[in-house]
Amino acid sequence: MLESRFVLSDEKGGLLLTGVRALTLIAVFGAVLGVHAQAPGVTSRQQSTSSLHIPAKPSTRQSIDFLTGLAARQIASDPTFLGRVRLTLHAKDRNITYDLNPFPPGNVLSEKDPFNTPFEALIRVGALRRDFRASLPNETFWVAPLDSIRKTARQCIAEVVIGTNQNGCSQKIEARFATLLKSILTYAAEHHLKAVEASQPVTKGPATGYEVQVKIDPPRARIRFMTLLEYKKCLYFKTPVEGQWIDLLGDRQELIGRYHYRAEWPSELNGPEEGDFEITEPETMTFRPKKK
Amino acid sequence: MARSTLHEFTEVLADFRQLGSLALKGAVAVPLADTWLKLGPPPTSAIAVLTSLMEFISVIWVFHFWQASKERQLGKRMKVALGGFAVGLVCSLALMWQFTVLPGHGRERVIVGFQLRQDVKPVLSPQYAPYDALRDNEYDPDKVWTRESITILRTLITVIWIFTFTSLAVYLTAFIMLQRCRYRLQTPTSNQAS
Repeated sequence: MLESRFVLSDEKGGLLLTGVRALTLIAVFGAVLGVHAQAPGVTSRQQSTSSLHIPAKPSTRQSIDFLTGLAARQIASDPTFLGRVRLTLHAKDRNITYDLNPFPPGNVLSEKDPFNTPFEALIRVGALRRDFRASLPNETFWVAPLDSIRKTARQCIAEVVIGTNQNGCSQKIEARFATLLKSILTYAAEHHLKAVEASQPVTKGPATGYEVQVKIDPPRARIRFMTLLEYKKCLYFKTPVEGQWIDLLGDRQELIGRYHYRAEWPSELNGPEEGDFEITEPETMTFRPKKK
Repeated sequence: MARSTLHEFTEVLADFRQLGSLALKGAVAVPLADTWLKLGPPPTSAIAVLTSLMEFISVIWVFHFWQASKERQLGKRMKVALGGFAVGLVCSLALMWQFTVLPGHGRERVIVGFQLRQDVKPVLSPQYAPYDALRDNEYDPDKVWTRESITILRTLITVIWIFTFTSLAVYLTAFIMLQRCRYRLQTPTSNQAS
């Protein structure tokens, strides 16, 4: 089932709004599956703060619409990660950059969550549709493959809701993405464009980092970081730091040198905190909220 | 009868008893050890192979083109090669000391630049040196120094490193040739005497 610790980032609304959304999602799918899910410590008052309409027993259709809407909101509210740019046409350089890669496991919903695969696909499709519309509005080659992925993702959600066997959902979705990739490559070849796969958002310099095992205790914080030089530059030039953060995702990271981090703990754990850390060898790094 | 260059070359390399032969083979092989030692300029594996290759080419060059050289001429070239090796070694060590940084244990050295980027300059202070900025940016020199200055230094360090080892190979090859030349001059004399 959906876990309250999943990372649905929301730059504008902050952690509270994300938490409310998470709880809403829990309530919806708890009801769908006949389970009255309620996260520990959540009161009915907190749930009623959501502006979303929560049906008592949502149908398959309502569940699909809910997840589709949620994916769209996440794309809009998190332009650096979930809603990152996945396709760009550089007409001057005669190249087209694409990124069809899925998010790392556990970065959208819990890995074990049955809705994870279709929901993640909906986010990718939504971001791609936005970018295709912006870069290639007069082309139609991308419409059918994107519709096909969306349809498959919706079918997967329906299968989860009904409780039928959803085996092979991931393979089906990735097969549709492979078709989309073929279409992009064909388009690029026909128009003499160089098709370039975009690099992953977390890039490293020439020095190989040390493997760092990251632990967040308790696991209810969003940890973001940036290189310390980047942070110092932001302070000096008075530029917003928001666009520079990298979400600390997954248990293992390759890091080297000094970094600045921001841990967004819930208010009962003293709220957000910032600090620096240095990596000089392979190690295990644990983030814990500072005591008052 | 005139001996072919190839014959002379293979004879030297095949002779495991001669100290000179071993030294020559060692000199060609030494740069490859840097693949594990990581003392040379980065990328160590590529530079190690390239240096070895250049040494091998220079050995062949010397055997081929200097075979007919006079003893005195060879001696002079030997001195030049030794001087080149000494100067190259000092320059290599100085440049590596001054313009490379070791990010950590087991990591390859990083070549820095000599001209700072405009967006980094104002952030620096007497308490915050360029090397601190490098450490604070995942040891990526491109984010601290200009790409041109890094390229110039990378090229310079690599060329001098290769030149140093090539000079050593030339020195040893010239030495072996000189010794063999002297040996050959002595051998017919003793044969004639018997």
